Amino acid sequence: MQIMQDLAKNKKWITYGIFFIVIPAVTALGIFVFKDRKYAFITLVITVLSCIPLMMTFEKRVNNTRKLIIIAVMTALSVVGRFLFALVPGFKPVTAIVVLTAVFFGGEAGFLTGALSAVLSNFMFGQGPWTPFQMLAWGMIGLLAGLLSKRLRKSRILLAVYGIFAGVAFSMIMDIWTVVWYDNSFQPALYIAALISSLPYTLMYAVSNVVFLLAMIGPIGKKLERIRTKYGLQ
Amino acid sequence: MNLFKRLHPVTLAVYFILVTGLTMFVNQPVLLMLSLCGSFLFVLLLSGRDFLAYLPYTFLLLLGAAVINPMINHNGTTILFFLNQRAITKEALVYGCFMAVMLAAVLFWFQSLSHLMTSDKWLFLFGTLTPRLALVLSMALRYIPLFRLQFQKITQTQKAMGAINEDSYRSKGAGSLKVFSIMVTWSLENAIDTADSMRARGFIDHHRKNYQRSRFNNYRFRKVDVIMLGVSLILTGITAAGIMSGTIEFTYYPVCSKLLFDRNTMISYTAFGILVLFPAVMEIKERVQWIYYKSGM
Repeated sequence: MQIMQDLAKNKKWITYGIFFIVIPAVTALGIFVFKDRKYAFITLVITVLSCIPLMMTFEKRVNNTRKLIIIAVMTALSVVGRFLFALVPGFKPVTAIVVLTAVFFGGEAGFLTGALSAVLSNFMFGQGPWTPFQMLAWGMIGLLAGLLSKRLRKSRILLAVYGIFAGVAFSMIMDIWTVVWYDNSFQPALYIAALISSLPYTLMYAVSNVVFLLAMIGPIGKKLERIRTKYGLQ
Repeated sequence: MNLFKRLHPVTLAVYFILVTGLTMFVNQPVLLMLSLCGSFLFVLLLSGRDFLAYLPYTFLLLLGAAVINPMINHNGTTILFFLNQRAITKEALVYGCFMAVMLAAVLFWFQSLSHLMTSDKWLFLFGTLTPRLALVLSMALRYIPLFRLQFQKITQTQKAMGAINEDSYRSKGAGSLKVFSIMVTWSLENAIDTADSMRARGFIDHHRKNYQRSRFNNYRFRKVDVIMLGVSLILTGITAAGIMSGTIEFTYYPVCSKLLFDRNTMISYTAFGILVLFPAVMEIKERVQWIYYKSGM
């Protein structure tokens, strides 16, 4: 009993348990019991299960109240930015703000801002089975930007390339869900069709990411940098 | 007051996970149609006119979804016609139609969920997993109206000063960026103040051992929740047993199998039917009751 209580207290075990036991078990269940035919359900379960430990780990690692509140502010700004820059549909600064947060406050902050922005903006635009996928997509874009933060801060060309990459990656991740949800299996032909049909959106995402990143890195980057050095938020 | 609005968030979440999970999971015409009926009636009762306004768009989207499958998938034996020397089969069309039914049902379930699961209930559920992130999320939720107000104030001030204008797209964009930049400064300073104030009042930002933060909620797990949870789990179990044992198995390719309506399949259909139609029936019952009470006054 003592062991169980210790396990319950130590969230690390939940993380490892989910990654090394629950996710493989769900995958095996999908392959053997449902004979590889319930992709949508299995994909959704795995996405939710991989979001939870990541969020729990990062929550632990952001052990600074100031950083925590800054994540709240950046999340809210990314949602308000959607209304502020609503010139053209699809032209939104969410990804750019997530990347900037990651570049100046680290990958964990980037992941959390991305994932929470997805939840928060879906309070307004409607939650659905796509919410966990958006959380994971934006979260990963933030995490990766945090890993590359030193280089992204130095080179604007690299920043623009990352913006294009983030737009394309976001579209590709979301289209996986579209295809899997529609057909309950993964057909390459259908995936390519989905990618082609969403090409205008992908283009719009990439362009808006580049425009917002390049426009914001100067004035807004300077402010984030100032807060970072002044209050010691590495 | 509707029964589902009074349920505990956990009960509500479990019910919706079961219903949407089964809808996504089963690929069976009768169950899908039942789920569509239940979700359609429920969302119609909950949101009424708003829902009807969007219905034509949703319908177009679903029509597209139904047509895509026969274009891409050429399985099946009954050939309807040829398109670009590729056979368009009846089976693929039927499959596409029922996929569209599934998408519609899940969409409607989630629309009704967003009426019932208000943000406070989401935060309660989220907070059990990651209490600190739930705090961040609730702060961000509060910031949205605050920032929108601040955004209006800054825009008005900047316009009055003649610092920004809306003569062209370019200057409009530059103006928006300037306002946004001002807002970033303001909100970040605000964030630091908030954080310092929280710390001064005893907010602990490290994960101390054996430290459990209490949080406020006024949801109680009542008898109705226990009954609701028990009944929905049992009904899901009966339906799942039908799926697992293969009695309600339905295959689309190469030939659509016949729908059976014997005793065994009827048990599964009834169980699932009760599960998905229950919310709509309860809603109708309470409306009728209300009219009845009003007429008695």
